[in-house]
Amino acid sequence: MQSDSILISIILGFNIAILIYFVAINGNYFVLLVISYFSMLRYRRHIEHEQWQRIIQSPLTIPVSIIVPAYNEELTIEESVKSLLMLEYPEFEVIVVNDGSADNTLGKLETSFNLHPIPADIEEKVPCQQILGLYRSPDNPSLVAADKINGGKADALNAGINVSRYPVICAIDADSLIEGGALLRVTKPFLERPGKTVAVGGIVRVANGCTIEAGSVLHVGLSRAWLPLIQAVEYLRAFLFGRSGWSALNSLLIISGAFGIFRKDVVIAVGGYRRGSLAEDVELVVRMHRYLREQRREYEMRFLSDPVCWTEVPESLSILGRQRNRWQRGLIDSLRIHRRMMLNPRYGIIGMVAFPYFVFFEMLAPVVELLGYIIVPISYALGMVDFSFFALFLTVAILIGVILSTGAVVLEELFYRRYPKTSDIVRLVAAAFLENFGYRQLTVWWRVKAFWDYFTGKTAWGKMERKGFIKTLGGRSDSNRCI
Amino acid sequence: MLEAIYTIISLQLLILAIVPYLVLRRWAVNLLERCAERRKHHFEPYVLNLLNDPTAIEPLEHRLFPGDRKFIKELLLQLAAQLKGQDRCNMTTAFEKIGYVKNEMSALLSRRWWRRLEAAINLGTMQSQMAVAALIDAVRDPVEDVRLAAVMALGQLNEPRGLRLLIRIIEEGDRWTGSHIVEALISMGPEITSKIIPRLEATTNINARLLYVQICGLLQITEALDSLFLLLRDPDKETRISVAKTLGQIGDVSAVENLIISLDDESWEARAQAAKAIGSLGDKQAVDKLKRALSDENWWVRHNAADALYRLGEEGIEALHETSCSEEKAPRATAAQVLAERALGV
Repeated sequence: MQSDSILISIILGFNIAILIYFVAINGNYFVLLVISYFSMLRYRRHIEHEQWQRIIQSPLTIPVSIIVPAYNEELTIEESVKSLLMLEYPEFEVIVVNDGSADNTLGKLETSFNLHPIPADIEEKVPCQQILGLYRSPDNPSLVAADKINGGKADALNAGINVSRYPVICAIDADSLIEGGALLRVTKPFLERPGKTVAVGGIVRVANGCTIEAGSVLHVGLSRAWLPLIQAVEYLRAFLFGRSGWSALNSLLIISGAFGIFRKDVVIAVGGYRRGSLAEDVELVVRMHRYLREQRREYEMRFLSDPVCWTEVPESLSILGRQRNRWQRGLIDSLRIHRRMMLNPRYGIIGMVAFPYFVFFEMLAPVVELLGYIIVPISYALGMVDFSFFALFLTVAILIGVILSTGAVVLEELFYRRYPKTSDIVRLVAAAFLENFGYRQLTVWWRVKAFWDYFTGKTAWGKMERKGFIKTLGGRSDSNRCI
Repeated sequence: MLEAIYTIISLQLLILAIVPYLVLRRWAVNLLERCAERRKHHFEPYVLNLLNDPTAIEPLEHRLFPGDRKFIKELLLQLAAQLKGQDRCNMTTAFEKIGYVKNEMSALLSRRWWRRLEAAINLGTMQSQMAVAALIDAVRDPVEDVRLAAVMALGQLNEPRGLRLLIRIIEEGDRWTGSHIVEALISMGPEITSKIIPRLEATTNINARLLYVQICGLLQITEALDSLFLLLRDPDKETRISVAKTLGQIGDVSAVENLIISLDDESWEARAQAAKAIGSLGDKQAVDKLKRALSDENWWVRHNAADALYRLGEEGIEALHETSCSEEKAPRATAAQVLAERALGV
């Protein structure tokens, strides 16, 4: 009898905790949505009359080294590099790091860009596996290829840093396409606040459904398949109101590995990317915050919502599952490594607000949600909550999720209007609704499973599959992140 | 229970209302954009006619629909941004005659910062001397974006009062706005030389001095060489690095002797910049010293020295070939890499 009452108390306690958590997390999301709206409005007004041509011609622009880690990218590498070489920017180099690919990535580069081996004299500023050779092209003087022993993405990025010659580095994924003027836009904060700006991230958008030719997006569209469509909404939500909001608070903990730009001296000072990390982008940004706060330096890390990087997203559940599992393991790993920052006033707003937010509302969110899915029906079955409460909670949870996702679509429509067809808006809102039935529960499961995989020592990235950039995208990838 | 149903219904209505709102908004925006394009197309010939006769503003002033003045202004601004010489002057006259300059000057006093920002940018493009005083006031605007736009506009206007103000800002401002002021000053051209050199010699503010040094390089002010030679021995490392870079940009061979001494600077950044500058100046007396710099402990110094040697021509290339066969690993690798890269033309 006594054990029954303890069990009932525990279940009731869980219900109350879940309710409080639900209110807190959605309250946070709504606050972020409002902050993002005002921050994007301000940014839009700031750049509305910008004379980009003047900036291109300015002798003061900062040269940039673009680093492209490539592992088994035979199908996409040519198109990606072509698109990078076409960027509108006064001075940049493209460094493709072939990370010991098992396919013909290097051969493809050699033949497509007329690469020739040159003797390598490289200073090791950050640790990386041995670089076997450097290649340059007489046809494309700004292209450098480095061939190295396989060491993972972070290791390849470190190799790129060692090969790079410019003071600012831009890390991008080999399966992504950067828009022509995006580099100019993303480097603007470095020009405006050269002493303060240490990192800037651009927006990553879903390329599935777009028409792509010669390495650039000719026509923006949405995929006809539901999975990429739902991910398009997810990416809008993650970038337009997630990162915009955190950036406005100067508390950005994630700059996407698909398109991030950093001051090289700071990256070197923190030791470069952490080799073997599953989320090297998150880990680097958190480590930079930690270092700069410990050094008591004034700095800014920003997210800009108009420099666009297009990326393929997975079209199959199995690849998507592996991707989400890896993202979650990477997040757990990064937050665990830097757990000293948690609620530590020494790290200012990062330690007191952003870090706890990521622990409670990003890392633990799937666990709490799964518990909710289990405990609330049990409570109902045991007669501890009445049907009206149960139904209300479920419906409100879904509707709030839809409103938040629709909020991201509204931000997109108010500020960017990148999807030309009116029907695209309707489809995005429909996807925002449908993602709550099945898709959301699946991602929760993949992310919860990641806890088990992480603590049992699983470190694999998961198998990569590439379809390649063809005229209309519908490819697969699992190398991007959108938390 | 009733409250719960009301909550659900309200949330559902909110979602349902968003879709038609977005669709209608999209439709309205597209319609307005099409109308704007049509009106702009209508006014294009009259705007182009202003290049021949800046007083022919009548078709642009009468029988206008609401919004037409904005479209005309946009057309004029687009055109003005691409013009130089007499055509540019004609456009300025047109801006003044139609009253756009006065409008933008009033807008500089607007309560909305974004309107003040737009006005400052537009006044820079309009290049009317009438706006100098208003822009000088705008340089003290509480919003940084507006201040920077006003600074850039004053640079475009190339007017003595603006120049004096920009120099004052350099000396009192912090480095975050430095790049904008440098850009504004270099847009004024070499005429500012007589104002910059005395300040370069007199200022005790290190940040200001760095900006003056940068301007000397970008405008290739040879008159500043003697002052720069002195600064090449300055105790401040940043100054020495910046001066070495500037001497390379100015391109006067007389700087090589001083730069050779800088190859022994205690800062590797200064040594690397000196090597790079020597390469761009091209004086063969530096070959031996650069060859020795190939053994420097720093990669950048070695690389820039090797690059400089290649640029010095036959003697330098010969030195590189010799080094590429030497027993010392680091200089050998650097020399070999630079020779291979240059052979490919990169």
